[in-house]
Amino acid sequence: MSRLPSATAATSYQREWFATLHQRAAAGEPVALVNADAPQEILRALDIPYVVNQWWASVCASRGRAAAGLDELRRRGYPTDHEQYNTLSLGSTFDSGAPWGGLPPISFVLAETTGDALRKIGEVWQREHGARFLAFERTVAPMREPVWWERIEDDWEALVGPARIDLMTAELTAAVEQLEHATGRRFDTAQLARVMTLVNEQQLANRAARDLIARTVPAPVSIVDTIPSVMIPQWHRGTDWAVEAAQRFHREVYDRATAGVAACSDEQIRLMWIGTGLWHDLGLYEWVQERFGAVFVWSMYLAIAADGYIRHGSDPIRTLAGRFAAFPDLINAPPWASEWYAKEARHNQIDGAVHFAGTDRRGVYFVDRALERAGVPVLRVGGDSADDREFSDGDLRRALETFVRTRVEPLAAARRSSEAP
Amino acid sequence: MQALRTLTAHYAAARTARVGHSAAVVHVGRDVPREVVLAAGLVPVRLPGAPGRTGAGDHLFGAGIDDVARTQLTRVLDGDLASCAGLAIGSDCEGSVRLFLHLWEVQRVEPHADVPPLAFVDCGHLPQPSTRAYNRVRFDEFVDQVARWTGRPIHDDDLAAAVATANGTRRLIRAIGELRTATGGPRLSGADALACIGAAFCLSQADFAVLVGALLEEAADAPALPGVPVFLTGSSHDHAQAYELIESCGAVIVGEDHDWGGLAGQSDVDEYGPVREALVDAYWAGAPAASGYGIAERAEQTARLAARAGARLVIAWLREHDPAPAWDLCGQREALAEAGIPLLELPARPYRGAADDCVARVDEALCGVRA
Repeated sequence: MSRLPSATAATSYQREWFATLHQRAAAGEPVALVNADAPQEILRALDIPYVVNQWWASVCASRGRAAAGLDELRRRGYPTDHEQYNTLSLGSTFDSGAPWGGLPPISFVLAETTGDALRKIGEVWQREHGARFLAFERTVAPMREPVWWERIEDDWEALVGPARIDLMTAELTAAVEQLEHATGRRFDTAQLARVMTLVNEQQLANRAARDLIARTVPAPVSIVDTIPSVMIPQWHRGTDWAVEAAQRFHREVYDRATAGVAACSDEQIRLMWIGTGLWHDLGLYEWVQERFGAVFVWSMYLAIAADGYIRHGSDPIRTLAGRFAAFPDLINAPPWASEWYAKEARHNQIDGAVHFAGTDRRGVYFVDRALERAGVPVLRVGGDSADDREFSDGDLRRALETFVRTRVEPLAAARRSSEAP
Repeated sequence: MQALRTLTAHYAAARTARVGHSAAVVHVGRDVPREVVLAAGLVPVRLPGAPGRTGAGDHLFGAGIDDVARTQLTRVLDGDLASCAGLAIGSDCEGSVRLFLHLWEVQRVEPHADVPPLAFVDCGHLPQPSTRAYNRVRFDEFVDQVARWTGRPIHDDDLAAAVATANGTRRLIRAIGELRTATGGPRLSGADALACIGAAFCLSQADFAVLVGALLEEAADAPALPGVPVFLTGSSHDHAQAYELIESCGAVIVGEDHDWGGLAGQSDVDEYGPVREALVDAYWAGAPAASGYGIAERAEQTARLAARAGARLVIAWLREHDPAPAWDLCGQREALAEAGIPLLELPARPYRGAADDCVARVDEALCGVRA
């Protein structure tokens, strides 16, 4: 199956960037490890290179090193039966077979502390590798307005609430001071403002691509391409390269849509994949395409870039807090997540959803409920993106076969007939 | 011992019957400041889970969630709290957070008439001034929420009086703990101590004080209990099955570091400074429980409390789907090794029932200590 040039280019860029990262680390530069939903922009503004924890876990898992990394953790007396996606990077530091020469030495870890283990996992990085852990508090608040995506760009202060914004603003300010002190670098607010502008520009290009895919039948691309084309630039957001990569991706989608080029020329079914990627079995996405003419046209990676990141505000640090103070709620907690997934299913003309719901998901029942009420059947699948130790690709394919044949195909046929000229 | 029987009966009733009454505010977790409820003239009642009652909780939560929260959710949706003035849920652990998020959303999309009014108390524990300031905002909101439930304002004087009352309860909890570390040997088993301390969460302070006073008198004449002194760490215990199993092997649990046990009485709230700040500080940086706190501070506390209690063995009882305690072990191993106290780790214990391989492992560890 052909790959989008933007996907290939992003993957190549990432390999080269990672090699450069090793060189910078070898030259004595500090490198940070950050969680995917932590405010990486302060590091960008300080020009401190960073690796995204869950991206690196995906690299390890997709190259068959999940079990090895987790086993190294187990041998050292750490738990490996939960939070695998968040701990595999740590495990990889003890795995002599880790991909790409492994992580460079990590000097800082930035993470928010959702759940019961993340704070302690950050502390283990300190214990094992001497990395300084810069923690962001977990916060939760009762959400009264389920529809966030229409207002959050400008009205984030009201939607998220000033208490959470105040807290993260203070945490960011303190983290910047610590990073300045540790590295000798000077933080420049104007530079952060420029980073924020670039991030908005990048996500706007992603939004255009998302909307184009949503309204184009058959879909011009599937998530096999959109995930690398979106996520690698996402982890470089705030750079000119990332903006150009997002714009290039949009142009490619536009060109394909205009020319009538489809990911699957005989597209019968449009599917959404909810949850993190199935990194240890990426072939699944193409298997459903070949077997059922079913295309995974949607994953959260492009959609959350389109709806979840853009923020406008005059104070860049506070605006950054407005991006991340409630970020996990957008994709992972009721009512925001459930209503958003249902909106996206309607927007993207989805016939069925596969919900990869690990135990870290906070409201799977309500996500499934909202989708089913929107007329989208759901197959819920357990597991962890970074743990294939008990994963059965056969079981998953059999479940998918039954799901598609019995629940999705009739709905998809009805949609197609209603769209027929 | 009559007082012991009465305290234990109250503790047991809170686990099986409908909880509370129209003057009660039920709370979930250790991070809800009970003093606010007391200051409003209401009775705070802490909600335990109910081993085995997973019905509605199973339906909503799905797999992989701590059975404590799962059964609490079942209890709430089954109407166990129907007559209460309110339900306040803290953020002490992921199970409590999910309990709140699910109830909040259930009431939005599938409302249950028997669920009392909800409040959420978000309380962080990072040792940073920003967390303290955030907690203060949420604390004030909770005060206002409880005041709305009662229809009258809560003044700082009310809070100060409530702090004095709650500190009285904490002193009594410490006194119960001292029965287990008394000179000459423990006068109270761990299982009985857990029940007596647990009664503090469902009785008024006055009733609790009378009963504990009687208990202390009765225990003064009681013979010392035989058995290897054991300290329990790991997950919290809102019922006594693990205690009974360990003690049936010839141990006496002389202390623990979870918040249904001795940790509930570890530290008082300051009675001399500004009362709101004192309460915020106490709930922000109190005696560290497994969830919400760091590995190092947990390890230091476990070793210190175990040594103070004269424990010859520490057992880490780790409940399945309760991830925090398992991450504490790395620090606890080191701290206990330094203190010269052996550690027995029992991972993936079910919330309900405790048999299988546990007995043999506890027996073996106790034999090692006796030798």
